Amino acid sequence: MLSRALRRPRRLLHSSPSPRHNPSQPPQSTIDATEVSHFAALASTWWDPHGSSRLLHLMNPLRVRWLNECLAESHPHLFNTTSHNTSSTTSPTTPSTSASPSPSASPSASGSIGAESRPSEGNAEGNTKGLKVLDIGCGAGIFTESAARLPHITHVTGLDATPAVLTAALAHARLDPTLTPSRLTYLSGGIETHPIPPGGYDIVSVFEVLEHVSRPASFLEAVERMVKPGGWVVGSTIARTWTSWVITKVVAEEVLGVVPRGTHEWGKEKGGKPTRFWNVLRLMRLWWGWGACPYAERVALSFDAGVRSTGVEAPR
Amino acid sequence: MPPRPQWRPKRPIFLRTPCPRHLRFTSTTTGAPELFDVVCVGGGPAGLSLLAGLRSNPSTSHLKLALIEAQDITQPPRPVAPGSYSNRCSSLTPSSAAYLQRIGAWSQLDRSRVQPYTHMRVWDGLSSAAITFDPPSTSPIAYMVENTNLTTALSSLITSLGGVHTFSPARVSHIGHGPTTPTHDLSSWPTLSLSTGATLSARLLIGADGAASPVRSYAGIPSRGWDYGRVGVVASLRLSSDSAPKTAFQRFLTTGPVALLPLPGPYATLVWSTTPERAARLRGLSGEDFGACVDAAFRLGMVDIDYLHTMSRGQVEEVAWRKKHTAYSEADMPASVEAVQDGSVAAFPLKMRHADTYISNRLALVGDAAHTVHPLAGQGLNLGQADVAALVDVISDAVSTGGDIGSTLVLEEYVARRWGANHAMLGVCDKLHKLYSAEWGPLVGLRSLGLRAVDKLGPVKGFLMRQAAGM
Ligand SMILES: Cc1cc2nc3c(=O)[nH]c(=O)nc-3n(C[C@H](O)[C@H](O)[C@H](O)COP(=O)(O)OP(=O)(O)OC[C@H]3O[C@@H](n4cnc5c(N)ncnc54)[C@H](O)[C@@H]3O)c2cc1C
Repeated sequence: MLSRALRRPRRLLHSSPSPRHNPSQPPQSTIDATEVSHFAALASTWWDPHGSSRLLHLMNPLRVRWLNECLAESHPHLFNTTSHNTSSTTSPTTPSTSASPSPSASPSASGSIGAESRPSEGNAEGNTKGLKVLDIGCGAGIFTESAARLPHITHVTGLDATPAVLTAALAHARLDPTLTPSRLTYLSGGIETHPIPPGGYDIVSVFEVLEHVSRPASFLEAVERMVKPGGWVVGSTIARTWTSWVITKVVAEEVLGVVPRGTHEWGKEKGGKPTRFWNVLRLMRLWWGWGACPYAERVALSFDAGVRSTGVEAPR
Repeated sequence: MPPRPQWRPKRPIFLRTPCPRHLRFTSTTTGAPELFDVVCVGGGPAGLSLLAGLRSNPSTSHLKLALIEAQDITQPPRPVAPGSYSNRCSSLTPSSAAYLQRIGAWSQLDRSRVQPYTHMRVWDGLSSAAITFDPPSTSPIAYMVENTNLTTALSSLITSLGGVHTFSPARVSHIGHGPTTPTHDLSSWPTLSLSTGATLSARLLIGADGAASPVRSYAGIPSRGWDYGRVGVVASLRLSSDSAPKTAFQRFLTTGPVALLPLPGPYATLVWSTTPERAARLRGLSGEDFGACVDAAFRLGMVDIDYLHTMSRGQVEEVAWRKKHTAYSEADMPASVEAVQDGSVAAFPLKMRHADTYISNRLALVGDAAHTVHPLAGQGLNLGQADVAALVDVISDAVSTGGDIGSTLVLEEYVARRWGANHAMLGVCDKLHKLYSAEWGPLVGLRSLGLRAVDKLGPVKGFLMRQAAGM
């Protein structure tokens, strides 16, 4: 069976085995300095469930479900009922190898959550190596943490340009002993300077990032280089429609005050060249009206998109 | 005679499941807590059902679970003599039964001791206006189950699924915060010290520890309500005949409702809400006199019933005489009481309580720890099962989307699903109790009118029945 992406008339997002940018030239950053300072100010309230990021918290399960749907297509074996028994956690005694500021060989807490039932790794075939995720614009780690807890994901790297939010992210990850550095690492910086691991990432996520970068087109080119052939770029951005402008800009920022002013720079959503990205949507969804939240959250709109890299046929 | 209860000989249940050596109770030696995803305090119907639900759900079965129960539940239950029934029985609604079926607990019940009933007759003690519930089909209104039958079934299910670290008998002696180390900050993790010396830290602490919930006190969640100044007198009875079809009887006396619920064969369980003074009088009676009072409670007028409670003995003759002078239809009555099971007469104080919320960070309350309801609608245990079904669902959703199951962001969905529904049910039971305690003439007239009207109105009755069945 042809992968869905191969049946598309236009395949724009390839992962390229050979990086297209010249390594001798310093890559130009797509980071927007005003955005960085804006998010630094948000860092302390990021994890407050009733703070200004509440919307992101409530959207997050939809994101993860979306990622799971994409993976169920490319890696169906991960979603066999047997693979559910795979522990979502890891033993804290796993040696720490990461750049986390608080590396430690073994936490003092003696038990290991979920680890007792952790079956031999790879009880579902193909699960042996697990999937690696790069979460670009991870903020204080709302999506990053939840991805790191998924049983079929072995490691997540959270990347963000704002050091202050990473401090918040690391502080929050300390609250969950399963989020050891062997599962979750945070790095400060931009995508352009981020080293591509051998083979690339299985999943690169860009949730609510595109509308905040200064040159979306070159940003997306850098994203493409990170993903493995057959891997996924998943992301979402605010819909570039007048309805979404009214809702996110006017309703969210001005009327309801749920999001601090200036969080959404409309020019960036409208301008730039994100069209290229959106033309290759595998599937576009419009979310609205999710149930559990009060009035203000009911009107938010966002597009979720998953793009399957088509460099090579998906591993079967 | 009912079939002989079959207590399958069992291995001692609830032994801790074997786990890798490095995970074993290092806490007791080092003082550092052992970490769990879910620690459940209380192994009653709610707590056991929650753990069984988590173990049987494929997306939560890998979670590391602990159960702490004050009573010793590691011993196999004592065999029960044939025809002998526990006085703690509950009516399980079809929706509770469906949930228990889904998690695999229903098949573990000793079915010979479970009695479904398809008919229900409810009437007013002062006016004898009645409402009869005869379902169009033969589908049960509810199933009468001994609480021990249910908890034993859930225990064997948990044993066969394995993986629940059980501390029993063990009491929670202290709940505090977890340690902070250079790598981890467990200060938000409830950390329990047990009477056995063990220390456990919980990603999510469940209070399934009954009406006096120590977990609720630890969380500082206020629980509001009132005492009814009434007690529930319970007893296991043998009636003069087996009723067909199986029917639940309930009569609203001014002192509170009296209910006789069918068990297999000629057996029945009594729940009689009454004043503490009358309960004390009833409990002091011989079996014969007690049985006569129960017969009277369904057949005689309020004045006669009042008089019977002034006598310290001799109710048998008194009731026999007064029955002859009272107009009632024996066909509408439960069969008369033939014997009261020795030692089965007991009394529980009745109260209404509802916690302000069911959650706080890394903590959730289920069952009686969250709410205590007047037993007149037989809903207490069922509300707990509905709580558990909702919470397992919420936890399972969170696990499959990578959420932290202890965070209030995850748990608030549980409150959203259950608090309002429970509050409505608590309110209905409370209002019914108050309405039927009234002796004021016009109110009695109105409520009788109401009961007669409801009896005539098929759709309204259908609605009430569905509510009672938890559907
Ligand atoms: C007279 C009467 C009649 C009733 N009839 C019905 C009926 O017909 N239908 C119905 O649905 N419901 C009925 N109920 C209500 C029903 O019995 C309760 O709602 C049900 O038992 C509650 O279950 P639970 O698991 O929440 O709490 P419980 O059954 O109270 O269990 C709590 C458990 O926690 C343990 N525990 C408490 N503190 C600690 C601690 N510190 N450490 C360790 N363990 C601890 C206790 O030992 C206990 O096992 C009736 C109640 C009464 C009083």
